[in-house]
Amino acid sequence: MICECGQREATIHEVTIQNGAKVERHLCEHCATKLGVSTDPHVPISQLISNYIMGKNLAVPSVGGEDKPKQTKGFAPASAPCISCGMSFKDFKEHGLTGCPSCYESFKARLGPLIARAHEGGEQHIGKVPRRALSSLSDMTDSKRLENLIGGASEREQRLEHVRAQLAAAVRHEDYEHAALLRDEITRIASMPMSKPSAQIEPTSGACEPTTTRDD
Amino acid sequence: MNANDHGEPDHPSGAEPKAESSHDPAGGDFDPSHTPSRSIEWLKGEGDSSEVVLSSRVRLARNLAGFPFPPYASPSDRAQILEICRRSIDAAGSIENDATMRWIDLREAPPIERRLLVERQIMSRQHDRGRYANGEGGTDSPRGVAVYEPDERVSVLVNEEDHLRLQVIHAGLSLGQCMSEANALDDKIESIVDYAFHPRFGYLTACPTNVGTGLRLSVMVHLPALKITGELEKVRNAANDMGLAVRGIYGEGSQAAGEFYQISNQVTLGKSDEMLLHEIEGQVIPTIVRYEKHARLQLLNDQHVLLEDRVFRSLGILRNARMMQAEESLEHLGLVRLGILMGLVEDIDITRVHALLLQVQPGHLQATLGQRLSQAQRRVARASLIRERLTTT
Repeated sequence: MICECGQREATIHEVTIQNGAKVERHLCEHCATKLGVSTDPHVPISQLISNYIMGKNLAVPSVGGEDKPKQTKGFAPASAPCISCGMSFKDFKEHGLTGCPSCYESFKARLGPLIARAHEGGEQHIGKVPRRALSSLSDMTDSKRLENLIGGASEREQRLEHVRAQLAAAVRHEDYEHAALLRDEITRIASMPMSKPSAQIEPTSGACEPTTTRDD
Repeated sequence: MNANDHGEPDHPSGAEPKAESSHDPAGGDFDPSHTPSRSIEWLKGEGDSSEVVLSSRVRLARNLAGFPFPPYASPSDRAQILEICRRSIDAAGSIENDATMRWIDLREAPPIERRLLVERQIMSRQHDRGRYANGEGGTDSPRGVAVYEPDERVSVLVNEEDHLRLQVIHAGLSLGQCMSEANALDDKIESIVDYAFHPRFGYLTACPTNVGTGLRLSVMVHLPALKITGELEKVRNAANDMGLAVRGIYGEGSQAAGEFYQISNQVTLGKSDEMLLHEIEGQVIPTIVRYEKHARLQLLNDQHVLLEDRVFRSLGILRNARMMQAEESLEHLGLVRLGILMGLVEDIDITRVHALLLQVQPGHLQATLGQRLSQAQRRVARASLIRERLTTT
């Protein structure tokens, strides 16, 4: 098979979903590199990742991604596919697998209750969060990215409330070991760097390493 | 949204428990360097509560931000994800001084090598086949596994259901140790790539049943006495009520041959890593260990003849049978293990029994003998190997 450029043999074959439709591309090494589909061993990892994302022209849902997926709230129909990978909620229901990280945001309203049921009512993550992301984002310039990652003040409050409720229950049941762990968790959440629109973040020593209570 | 309906491959399964598959699993070349003689961490029979707990395992599911999850990624996407993950693992460097990382590209690995990895509990059958729950993929699908030698205690699966699955195994009850090692490797990899993370759902995974911590804590226990006293169902039900999964030694859907069970958490969202650890290592498993030990003592004191009969009957079969299926051999090895621990069997070293748990598996059996065998030939070879290992001292 000949590459799109019509000059060389296509050695890289790619299938993507764009706007819900399957698009196949057949490329030679040269064009693939240009489009960010290369796996040249000399290209640094960060370059590989950004090549990929540029090549796909995807909305990046990520940890610290600047181009957060556009909110389609308000006018998107309930059956709208995931804005990044094009997967529909119907596809998800068929196999129980999401297509990409953005699916969680795209289908949040419908996934939320299903997830809570699978996790015995658990709705809010507590525990470890990506360490580097936190420490590199805990300065002011990255406050927006930080908010993407661990949420803003309201998410933090929600998380704290959730843990406090668990703590009260543990104390009621006289499960003091569990209660101690929950208290640690509250301290940990409270010590996480917070993105504030204008105020300075306290450069406390705990601010950069708050990802876990392990004493390693 | 059933956690089990797509063969959740957490505690990788070994050989097909029931039907010792008739298609030959061990085609291809035999490489003696990968045969079972090396010391495998989970078969050491050491560590806390090792009379009851064979091994502890921690698995972290992680995905790269901005990339589709493997089941929905195109083959070329998977190839790029594989490259990025492999190099991140490489760049993360060694986990300790004497460990070296061996990378296995599963597209190129011969079937026998893949089979051995499955039997050694390093990867799932799903990863061996490369086939995802949505029907995508296949044996040529880009995927791999990084194994830290020499003891294979640490391994990372790439492009299984998630981009990265980090796992650490220790002998005995040692989940805390597993967790801190897994976290250390996780932090190293995360210093190179961005993980997909959501403020509410935590670490994002292909299957929503793994979101949150992405953490699976799993302990392999041996409960033969509770089986004999008829109390096993109670323990199973109690574990299920606590939201824990109880599976056979071979993982998902398998029978617990030899009364070896894997007990693991299912909830991963809404409880922190430490809470899950505390629940399982601090509460659930010690309780089960206590029950099993109590049942063993009860048998020894009140039903001594019954216990002896079960143990020596099994030993007799193992030492005399001329044909043996893998599942049957596990059943008897389980009872002989109990007999050794109870002081009834004195002329067999328990490490031989542990080693046999693996050596009787189809892939390892053929690798040990260095040749391909049909199912019927394997049964004969297995019986002969067991006789030899359990009679010579």
